[in-house]
Amino acid sequence: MTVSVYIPSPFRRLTANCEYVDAEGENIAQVLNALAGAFPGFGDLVYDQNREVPRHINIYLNSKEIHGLQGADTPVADGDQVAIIPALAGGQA
Amino acid sequence: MTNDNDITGGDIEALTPEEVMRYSRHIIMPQVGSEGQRKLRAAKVLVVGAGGLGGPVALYLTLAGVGTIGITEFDVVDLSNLQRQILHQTSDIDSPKLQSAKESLIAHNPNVNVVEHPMPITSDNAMEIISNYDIVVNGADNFATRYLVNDACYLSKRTLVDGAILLFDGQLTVYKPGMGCYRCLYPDPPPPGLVPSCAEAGVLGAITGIVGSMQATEVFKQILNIGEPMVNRLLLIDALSMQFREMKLRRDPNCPLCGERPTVTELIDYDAFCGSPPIEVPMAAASN
Repeated sequence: MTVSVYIPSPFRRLTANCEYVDAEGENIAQVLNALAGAFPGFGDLVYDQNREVPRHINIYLNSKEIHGLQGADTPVADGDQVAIIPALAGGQA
Repeated sequence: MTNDNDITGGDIEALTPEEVMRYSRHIIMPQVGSEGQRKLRAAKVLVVGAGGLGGPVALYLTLAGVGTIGITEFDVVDLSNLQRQILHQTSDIDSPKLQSAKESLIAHNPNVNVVEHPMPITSDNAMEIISNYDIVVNGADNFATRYLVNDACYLSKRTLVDGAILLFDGQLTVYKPGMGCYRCLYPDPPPPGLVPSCAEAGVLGAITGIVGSMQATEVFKQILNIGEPMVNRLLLIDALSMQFREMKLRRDPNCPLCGERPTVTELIDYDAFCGSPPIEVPMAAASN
């Protein structure tokens, strides 16, 4: 399955400033692994030391966060839209 | 006329001729009218921070005639703030932001009561401060304050209009008590230093105006009880492509704050929770 992954600007330095990248996989975990293999440093950003996505980063599949689905095991289909969105804190200083 | 969704309790005093003229572009709209304008006048809104987001939020609330605008801010104006923080000017450098913020707001609309809270919002004062307001708007720049304001708003049963920015991106949502919260969206803070601040990574000045104006718009919708609030929705703003994406946000039944078996029932030590150092109050601000 080929999905389109939206990369927000805070992560875009790892994807050669690409807003969207394609990735292969049968589920979200495989998609993330494919991205980690394709883009050096990406795995360090989206995985913690336990190789899990930290809870300040949300993975959305077609606008739904995966923890409300089947987590990293959530299956994907051709043409699905995945987004990897970190918490931001800027605003005051 | 009031209803169950009237957060202000109404304001029966008629608008003055000056107010009718000043707010005529609001009043002429059926969704606002004289009644709506009086609701705005009766409303009390707390803005956390008078910086990039808090500036446009407070300015638009002021221009619209929101009667009471509280601002928590302890910092002083720095030259590097002036690329985006619209309430402060070059002559305000090294002065308390709260002072220049209030001066700017009153200059725009002297009818508004600007309440100063010249200190960091903390676990010790958050509940007392927030209890004086109908709605809270988050313009903080660190995760500890974001979790604190989220928890205090939920425990105080106040609606929180949340916004955040970094680089060319913005995020916007509204948390109504019982309908999801910041902890549902981001259960854990990032490890210290992992997510850069605007000072570390940069921010497009104008994105603060986009997100701040949207936050102010959500406040107006709450006060006027109109439109479709950004509740259970997260808006992602990408200024580079100028694309707006909307994600679904759900209340997490396992949320430690608003879930079915809450473990956070009072404010905690948010610096410890986030692993961040305590906020330092600049000397110039501390002396005021």
